[in-house]
Amino acid sequence: MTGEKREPAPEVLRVLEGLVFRARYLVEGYLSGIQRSPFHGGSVEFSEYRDYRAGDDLRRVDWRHYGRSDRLYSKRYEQDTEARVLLVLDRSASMAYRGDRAWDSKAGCAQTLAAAMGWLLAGQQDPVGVLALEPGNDAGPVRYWEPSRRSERLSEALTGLEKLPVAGGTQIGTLLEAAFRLMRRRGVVLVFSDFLDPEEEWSEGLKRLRYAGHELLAFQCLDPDELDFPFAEEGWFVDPETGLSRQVRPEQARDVYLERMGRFLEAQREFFGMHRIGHSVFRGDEDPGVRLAQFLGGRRGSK
Amino acid sequence: MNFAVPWMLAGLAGLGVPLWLHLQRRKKTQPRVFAALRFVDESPVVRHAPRRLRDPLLWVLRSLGFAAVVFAFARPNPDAPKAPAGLVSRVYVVDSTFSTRAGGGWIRDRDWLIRELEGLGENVQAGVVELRGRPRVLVGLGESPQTAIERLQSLEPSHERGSYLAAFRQASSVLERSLGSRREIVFLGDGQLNQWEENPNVPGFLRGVEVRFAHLPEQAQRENWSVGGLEFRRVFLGDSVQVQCAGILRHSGPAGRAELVVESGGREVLRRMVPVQSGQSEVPVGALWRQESDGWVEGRIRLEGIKDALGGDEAGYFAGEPVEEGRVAVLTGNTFLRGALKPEVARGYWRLDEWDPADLGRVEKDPGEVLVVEAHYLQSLAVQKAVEKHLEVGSGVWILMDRVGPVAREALTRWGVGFGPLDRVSESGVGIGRVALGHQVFAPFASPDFGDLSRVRVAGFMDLSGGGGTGLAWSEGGYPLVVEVGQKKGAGRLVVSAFGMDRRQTNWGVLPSFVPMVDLMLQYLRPPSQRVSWLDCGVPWRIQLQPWEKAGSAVVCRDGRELCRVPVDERGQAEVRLPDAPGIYKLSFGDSEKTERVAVVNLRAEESDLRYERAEPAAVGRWRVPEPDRVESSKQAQPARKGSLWWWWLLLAGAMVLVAESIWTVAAGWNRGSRAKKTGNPFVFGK
Repeated sequence: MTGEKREPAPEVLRVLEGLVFRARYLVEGYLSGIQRSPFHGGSVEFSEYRDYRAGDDLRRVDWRHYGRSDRLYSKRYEQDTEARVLLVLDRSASMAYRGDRAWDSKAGCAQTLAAAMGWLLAGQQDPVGVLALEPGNDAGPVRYWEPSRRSERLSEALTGLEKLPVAGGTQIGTLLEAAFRLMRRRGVVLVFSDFLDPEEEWSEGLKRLRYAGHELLAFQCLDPDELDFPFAEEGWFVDPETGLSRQVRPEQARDVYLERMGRFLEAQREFFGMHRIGHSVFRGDEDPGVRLAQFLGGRRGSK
Repeated sequence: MNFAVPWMLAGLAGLGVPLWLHLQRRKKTQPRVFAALRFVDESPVVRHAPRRLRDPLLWVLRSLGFAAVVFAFARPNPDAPKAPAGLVSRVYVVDSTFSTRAGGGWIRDRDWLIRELEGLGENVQAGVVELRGRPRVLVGLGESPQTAIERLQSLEPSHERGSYLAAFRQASSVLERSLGSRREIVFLGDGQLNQWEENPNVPGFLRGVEVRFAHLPEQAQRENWSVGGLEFRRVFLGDSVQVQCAGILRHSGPAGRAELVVESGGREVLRRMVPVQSGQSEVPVGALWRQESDGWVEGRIRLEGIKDALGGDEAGYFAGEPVEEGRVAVLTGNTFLRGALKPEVARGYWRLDEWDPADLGRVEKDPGEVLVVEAHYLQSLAVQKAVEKHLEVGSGVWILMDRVGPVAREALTRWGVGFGPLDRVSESGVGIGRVALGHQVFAPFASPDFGDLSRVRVAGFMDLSGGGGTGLAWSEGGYPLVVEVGQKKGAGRLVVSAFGMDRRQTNWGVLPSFVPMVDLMLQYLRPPSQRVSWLDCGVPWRIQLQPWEKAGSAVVCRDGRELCRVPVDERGQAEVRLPDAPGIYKLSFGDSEKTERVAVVNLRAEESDLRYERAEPAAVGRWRVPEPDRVESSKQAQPARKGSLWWWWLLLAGAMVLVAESIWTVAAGWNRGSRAKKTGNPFVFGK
């Protein structure tokens, strides 16, 4: 590290062109200290013991310990290389929103975070794939780039992702359904969305993935406007996905909005906690690198 | 007065300026896109009523402008200058349709009109409406007689047919805008009887207009020979393909003989004498020959050795497109039908696709051009859906009623098949009593070359006498055997046969007429390719490219010579206005020389009917509005015409005031008060 003063990340990200540059900026600037995969698995490096339960693989029983203590223990291992990772990106019309304070739209923020995670994991030899939707494509809306360890495949997927339109109605339910069908082996699913759709749109999909044994991380990208409701000018507000419009006087509507949004986020946190789904909110005006490092560091610490 | 008055254009432009300025100044409030809208409550914006006028002069100026425009649109009618007394507005309707050439009628009418225009007095304003395919104003009322004479001298008669009614309507609308105290229509034409008899129930529209005839026909009828109603078809006989061209020879006059000549591809395929009786007669004529090539066929039928009043209608043109293999899907176990369509017999003409009733899922994606299905399969809902799918996409369906269960009967009734009171007609082994020889499927059987339909026997067929369609063939007892159903499921054609092709029900499958009948039926049911267009003279040729065809332009040629090149729009459509002459016109795309479309242009048969109305036609009497109405309406119409000039001035004044106001407000900066700036409204009020 040199002693020079570093520019705040949102300002840098605002002027960086292209997904690859942004992702590399985050990976090299913030995540370079993370050496191992933050995900559980079954592999070669010993992690911990737990009591033997009927059905456990007998090859994992520590027979030496049995000889010493007359109790059966199973060994748990940490996976460094074999977690198949799927980056699931919501690119519905609501993700196109960008307030004045954000360094990019929610979709831009999501794909930058996804790319950073992709580069990070690909660098550790984890196969990384990408899943998104392309509404209006005659060949079918699902765009899927299979997990691969090769960085050029990841580059190809991210380039393809950038070309997809940010449009259409709610996608998260369809995306999670597609992820469930595509991930046949246990793996890790990283979901990037604003999760602003009603809970029933995404909760069932997340639960199914979770019950199938996948590890889930939810990256919730929100614009600061959605969290603070800073508007002053009265006028018509339009929902980009449903087309619903309302005439709004912000000073009158703000308190109710903030209260409802707070309750909604709190309920989401409870849901994610209850189902052991990693979750973090990324504000569009915050330094995503710091937030990402905290999030991943926190996960390693919690294992 | 017409809509090309420069003052009107200036007024419209002037009126547009303040509107444009207003739109430019208007504060743009775009709706805000917000994804979390479901957390936001509706809170309507309350508007406070304005209370005090802040800029009275501006308000007065704009109000004046608006008032003037509104007043102008209310059409005030102060004393307008009177129309010149004794002024006569007269419109000459000149018939230049094809039939006027008979006996030199066109030249005579044109010369008469030129002489008439040369001798017009100063109190007569004259216009000329030319009657052709679509009537047009050749000379307006405001134009000089000399201009009218020059245009008439360069006028040529057309090959088109027009409507007397349309021409009189056109003349009437010209006269409605005239200033004359007396209005007249003078008709110059041959007075064809069939023209006057068209549109017998048209309500009156000639208000206060006198109708005169330059001359009435000298004779009730002229002798004429003509050829029309041409048709072309290929008929598949199993081991060869025959080409048939048919038409109608029409004759009026004393008995005589004409030599019929049929030419195809530059060679003569038939020459035969045709005798006709005295009076009006129509003789079906045609030729049948073996065609080796499957490509384009073109030719004409003409008459030789005749002498009549109207030249040019003794020939008619025909053309046929190249053979393109059709896809026929069958759901039938019938041996004869499958045999007629098996590849060894029908290769190059029909490709048989035998469907498995258990696997109809692909029908959704790839329906055939024609579906042949036996009625007992309609017990399956999947087969019913397949039938409906075909009809929706424009493909044809042929249903053979071998056995009809209750489910199939319900579906057939839903599609428009009308069952009679009998379940099965208890006739055993009856013959075909009558077929619709004018129909495309059965017309060729007028010639014995395609087999003898009287040998066909049918037994135990369904009773389709409940209506719901057009009969194409009937039994000797009068029961419909083949019916085209007027279904509403889609654009496809639906034909039902009251019997299956099984030996128990008919012997048709072993007769020589079976293969041609199957081929003609499938050709009829197949979606039309639209590669050959049969047009009347003067009708525009509209071309629609298929989705797989790409072209930026279309080139039209005749006899190898390029006539015109038209652009193809982004929807793949082009419109060609062909020369005013019968013939065969070929169209290719871009710089390619390959013929893609052909237009066969022939004369309208009605133009060859040289019977005339010698007295003043009753139709003109019906077109006149009764006298009391006429007086009343002319009283109402006159002031409206007088006020028109005043109206234009008012409109212009209003527009000018608005323009002045706008310029003033822009020059003044339009920022006298913050509220005024905020609202962008000239009615500036404050608390």
